[in-house]
Amino acid sequence: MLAPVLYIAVGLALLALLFLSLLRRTPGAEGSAQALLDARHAVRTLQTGLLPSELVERIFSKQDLKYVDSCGSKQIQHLFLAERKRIALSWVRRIYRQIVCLQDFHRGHSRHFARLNPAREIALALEFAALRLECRVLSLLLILRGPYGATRIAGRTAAYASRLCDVSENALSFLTPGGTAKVARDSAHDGAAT
Amino acid sequence: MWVFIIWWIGIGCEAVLLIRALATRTLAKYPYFFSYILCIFLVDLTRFFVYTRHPSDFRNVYWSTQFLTIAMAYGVMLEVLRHVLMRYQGAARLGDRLLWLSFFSVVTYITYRSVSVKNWSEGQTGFKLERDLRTVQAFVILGILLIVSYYGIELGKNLKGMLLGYGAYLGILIMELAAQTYMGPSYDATWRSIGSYLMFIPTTIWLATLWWYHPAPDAATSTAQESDYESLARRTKSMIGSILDSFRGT
Repeated sequence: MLAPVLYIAVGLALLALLFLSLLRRTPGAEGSAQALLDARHAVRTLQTGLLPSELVERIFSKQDLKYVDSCGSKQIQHLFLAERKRIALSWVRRIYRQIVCLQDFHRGHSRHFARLNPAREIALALEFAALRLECRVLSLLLILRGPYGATRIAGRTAAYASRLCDVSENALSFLTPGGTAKVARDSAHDGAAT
Repeated sequence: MWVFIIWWIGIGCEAVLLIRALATRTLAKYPYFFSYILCIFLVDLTRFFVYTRHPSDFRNVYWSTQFLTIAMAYGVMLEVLRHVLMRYQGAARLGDRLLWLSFFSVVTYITYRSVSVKNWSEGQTGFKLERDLRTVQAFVILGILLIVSYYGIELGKNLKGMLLGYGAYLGILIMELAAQTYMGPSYDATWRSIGSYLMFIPTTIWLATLWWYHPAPDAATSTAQESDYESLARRTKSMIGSILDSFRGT
């Protein structure tokens, strides 16, 4: 009985994927200046907007909660927790969007290379998928347990953010054309070459 | 009577496809695909002739031509890959490997079956073999669709129609063959006749999408050098690895 079910599953999967491919949105112009700008913007947003440890510590710091608790009003406390949860979720969503943008940039460029390494591409796709999944899990944990539901979440997120800052710098380097800096150095400092 | 009507409508649709391909000169643009259409057109005519003049030979002719059309159906996938290859060498390389892997699997499987099957019966062995070969093709199409979807490749109306038509036909045919091989002789004749109508799915889609020539949109030319790929992949991997480490280490 298992064999026909498997074959039927293959048939259904094929039909479903065909249907989804019909609904797929038209991609933008790949390899264009806009794609490069988007990727640069994603790295800058991660580096300067979303990942500085001060921002993360501020979002998940219990200091504010202690202050609100000290007021003694349950209503204010509820309102504060709801708002803080909303901010934390928005933060994770924005990180997720920037990661998607970086992945789009990588896909948009790598598909042109004849020497593309299939094994490496599959590994990268799986790792991007894992990263996106981890963002989703983090969002789910924030929804279920709240921003202060578990102190570990805040700790995890803060540490994650600080390391991600270093990583994003590395990411920025591959978006920067290697030759430009050299040309700038070699020029007569009159700006003509660059 | 219905059998003959269905048969002639099918042959008519295939003939219209070929005539349109000649009239719009798409035949030269998609030679592998139209070789497949020409093959099924000739196979249908041959089968009709044998069915009406030499009915006792029909089964033998059916199975030998059926495996020929299965082999020729690789032309549909080859055509899509060939056109993707023109524009996205990297993505097409992935698909190319997938196609060769599938072809190698098919050859190995047929060799194994021809050695291992002692009592060949068209009713069961033939259907099982066809089901398995079609399933391998379904995996190839699934792979092509995943590559196209992952890399955001725009196929254009013609290529999309080729994949959609043959993919939909394969999806339904595999389910029908699975039911047929599972139920054996008790498989209802009404359901069995569904197989005759199945070929209308791709031919209708192909008539709609290949009526005019719609070239796939041009890809923006990449100015990147080949040596840059290693750098791009290495840095992306390093970036992901560090992010994942930071997720898991905390």
